[in-house]
Amino acid sequence: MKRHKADAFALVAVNCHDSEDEYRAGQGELETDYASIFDGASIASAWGVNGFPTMFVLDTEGKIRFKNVRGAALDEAVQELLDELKEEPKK
Amino acid sequence: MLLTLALALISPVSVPLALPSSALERFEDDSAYEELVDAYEDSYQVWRKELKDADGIKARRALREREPAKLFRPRFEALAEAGSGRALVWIIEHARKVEERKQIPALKEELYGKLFESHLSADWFEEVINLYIKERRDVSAEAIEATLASALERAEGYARARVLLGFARYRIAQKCNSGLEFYEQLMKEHPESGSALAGKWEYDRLTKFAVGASPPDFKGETIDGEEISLYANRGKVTVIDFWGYW
Repeated sequence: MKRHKADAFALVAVNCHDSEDEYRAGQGELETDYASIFDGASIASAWGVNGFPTMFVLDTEGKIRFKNVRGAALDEAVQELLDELKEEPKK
Repeated sequence: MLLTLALALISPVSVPLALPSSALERFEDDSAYEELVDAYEDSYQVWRKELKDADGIKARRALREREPAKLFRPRFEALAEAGSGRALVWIIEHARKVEERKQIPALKEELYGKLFESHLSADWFEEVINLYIKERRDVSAEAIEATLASALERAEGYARARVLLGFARYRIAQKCNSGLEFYEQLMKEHPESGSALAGKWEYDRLTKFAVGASPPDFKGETIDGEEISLYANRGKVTVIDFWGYW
């Protein structure tokens, strides 16, 4: 995740179920230069999330392109979409 | 009570006159079943404790011979004979404790057959459908398809809505996209049913939040109260990470 410092990448973390204390304890060690929603249980429910962590990767037009990818597969998915951008003419 | 059970036997899939035709559900008086299940559960709790406290292999083996499911089975069979569909369900659910493994497929075929034939309109039938569509080992896919298709033709009203929902869930579990059609049919033909309500939730999860879909926006707050919206990230490759602990 930390590799993708390109402007065209965004990370939105949605936390569910943690109490404020648990949340701050978990966040303490991480960089916080990304959006992190607290108490997003209703969003998770709407998205049909029933296990953690669950990752979605959206392209620049907001379409879901990958779901449930982790680790290396996640990096590859993001890289693939970033590469797509480079091939498209700038709008 | 005997009279009610007798009536249930005589008129398997008839429509009770008091209900509006759109509901078309049959309410069986199953107080005998309720009593027997309570008795079974009590026996089971006592037996489990004895098993836990048992001293040595011999004692344990003796106890397993007296497993409550084995002792109660004939009584549930009698209720089923008298017309109780829920007794049939109990027998299916406890088959493993009573039957030899290899007898189970044939037993289930017989019992599910009876259930779908005579109790399709019962108000508790959703339980049967949910059980049935999860069968993998003891019932073949062909049999499940055939049973559900046949049930779809015979059922009406809420009973039909339940079959549609079951069929949708089954197809999705089998990784066929044709499951979506069943959801659509359900929502179109039985919009006011509880099955359609549950179905719509599942349908949305499958269509709006599946790979290839464009999901709706959401807004949330950071712990410091700043507002975040998904759509604000348009133009960027966005990873959404749902995390937390149970």
